[in-house]
Amino acid sequence: MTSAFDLVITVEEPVREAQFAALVARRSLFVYRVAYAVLRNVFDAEDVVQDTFLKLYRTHVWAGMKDEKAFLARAAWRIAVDRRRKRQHGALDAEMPSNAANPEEAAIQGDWNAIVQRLMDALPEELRLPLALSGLEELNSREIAEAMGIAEGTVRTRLMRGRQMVKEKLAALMEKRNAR
Amino acid sequence: MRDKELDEILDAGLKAYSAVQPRQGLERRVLGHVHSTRRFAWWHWVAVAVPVLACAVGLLLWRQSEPVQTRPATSVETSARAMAPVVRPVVVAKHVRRVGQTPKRMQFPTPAPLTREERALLEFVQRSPKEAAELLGETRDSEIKPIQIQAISIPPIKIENLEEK
Repeated sequence: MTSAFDLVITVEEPVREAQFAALVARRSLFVYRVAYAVLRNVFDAEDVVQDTFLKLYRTHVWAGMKDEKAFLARAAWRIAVDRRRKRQHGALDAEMPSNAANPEEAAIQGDWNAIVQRLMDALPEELRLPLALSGLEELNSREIAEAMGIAEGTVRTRLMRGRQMVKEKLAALMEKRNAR
Repeated sequence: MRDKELDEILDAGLKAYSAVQPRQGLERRVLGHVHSTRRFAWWHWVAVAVPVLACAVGLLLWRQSEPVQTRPATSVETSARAMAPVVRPVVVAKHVRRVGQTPKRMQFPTPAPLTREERALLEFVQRSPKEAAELLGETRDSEIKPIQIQAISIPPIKIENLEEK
């Protein structure tokens, strides 16, 4: 005989599954990009996405998320940073070589996106990470601060400093290009 | 003007920097991984629970097959009642004790029936207690004599050659 409790379970289970599947469909790309911003490696980034959603599914916290984007960014950030730490301790570095052109060559070709990418990679991590996250789907400084676990003011300062450094180098490259 | 141009280039570059695309079917892979892990978790629990349950049942059976501990026989009494022949309780073992297993005794040494000499001594004490007491007293007196130790005298060592010098 089926009890009322069993009925609730059997009715709620598919609903929860569908809600979780919707969450994965809605946010997996976002989580992937947060992970990629930290790790700069497509394989590691995908592993982080898997781990993040698996953790959410197991702990059932996803059902009670208030700020979905900030929560997911924080979860993915932690897992990605943890993974990067382990990778650095490992014997082999799994970092993929960047196939972007060198800044001078890219400047001559007028490939500014490639230049920005190279200049970003050359930034110190504390400046690169908030800047990389700021390029994500309207992630504001409060959400970046929440994800990184630092103060919002610190995020703003680092964003300004990072932008300033990249802009200075961009300006120098532009001048070189115009002088030719 | 130039600063605005630089900002535009930087913003476009930042968007491109973060706009990385995963391999196709990321959602499907994530959901597949989650479901496979959930199925594994169910089997995982079963795999852990079965050996634990088997161990618990085995332990229970082993404890039940332990021999029943009987009350130990009372120590030898010197009263008249003790003269009655000692009747050991008959223990019917539920199982045959395994070879090589040391038996656990409640009292060591195991009480045994009195020997012929012990019984004779007991009878003597009961029949003529005064004589027995006198004998015991004599034995005690002779036993508790203080030990006499002669004074030890150690003469100083004399080395002849040393004195001559």
